[in-house]
Amino acid sequence: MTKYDWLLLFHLLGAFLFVSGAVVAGILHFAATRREQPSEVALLLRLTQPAVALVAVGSLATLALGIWLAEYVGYGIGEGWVVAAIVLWAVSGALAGPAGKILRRARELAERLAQADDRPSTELRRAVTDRRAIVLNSLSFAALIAILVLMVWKP
Amino acid sequence: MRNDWLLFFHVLSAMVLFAGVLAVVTVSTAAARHAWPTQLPLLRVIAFRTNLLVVLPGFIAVHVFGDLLANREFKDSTPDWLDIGFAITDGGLIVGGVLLTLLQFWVLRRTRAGQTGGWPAQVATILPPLVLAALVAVLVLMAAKPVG
Repeated sequence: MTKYDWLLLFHLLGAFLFVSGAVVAGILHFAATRREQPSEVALLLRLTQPAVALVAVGSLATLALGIWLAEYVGYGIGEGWVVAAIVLWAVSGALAGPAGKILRRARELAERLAQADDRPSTELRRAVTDRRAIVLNSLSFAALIAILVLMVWKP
Repeated sequence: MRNDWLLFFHVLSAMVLFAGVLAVVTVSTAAARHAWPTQLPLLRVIAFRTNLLVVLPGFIAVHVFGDLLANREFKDSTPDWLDIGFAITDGGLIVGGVLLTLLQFWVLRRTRAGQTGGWPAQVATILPPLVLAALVAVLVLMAAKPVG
């Protein structure tokens, strides 16, 4: 395998972890929105933590190896589509960050309620189905898809 | 359909497939190790539904778009890395898509009936990481094209 092959392989692995982590967190969050019992909501939101860690590792690996790969192949990071991908990468992170904080507060509330009497609560329901978190995460994911479009078409 | 569109949908479906299997690994492992007995049906139902609604369609989509792409790019003969990639994906579709979905349905029914352990639950926990490893192997083949 050449250096190019290795760079491409780990760039793709990073991208797969990035997108997969986001989808896994989305699936678990969606499942949590459909549960009432605080202990179940807490369990599902706790399970998003390893997925979020994968998003962090994958996003950093994708960016670093992507820039290295672009330089190695001769595109350079000044190319329009490369700049646009880096901007979208930053936008995706900037949108997912606040959404993560909202869901972390929801998880902490679910854990407190689970330790108390584990009864359904309207406050927890509101926290888990918070529209801001859903919209921010959806926009963040749309930015990832836009990056994939740029990587395939390289306009 | 132009090759760029096929490549886009092939990669996107591969990412969704990878994510689906990763989600199944996450909830199956949690069911085996961390969950309270009352939470097991919840985790088993997520594993089953994710396998049915994400992993199974993901395997089919990645195969269909991959096949269309391969037919356009390799008109005469296909390289070894592609044949091996298709063979692993087909095996993954049968084992990780069809058999694992049926097994998870069975495990879910057993869990709801109060039978939380046994070999079906163990196999349903062990198989998803193996399917994920197979997908990583295919990804290595697609990226590095190491043989043929």
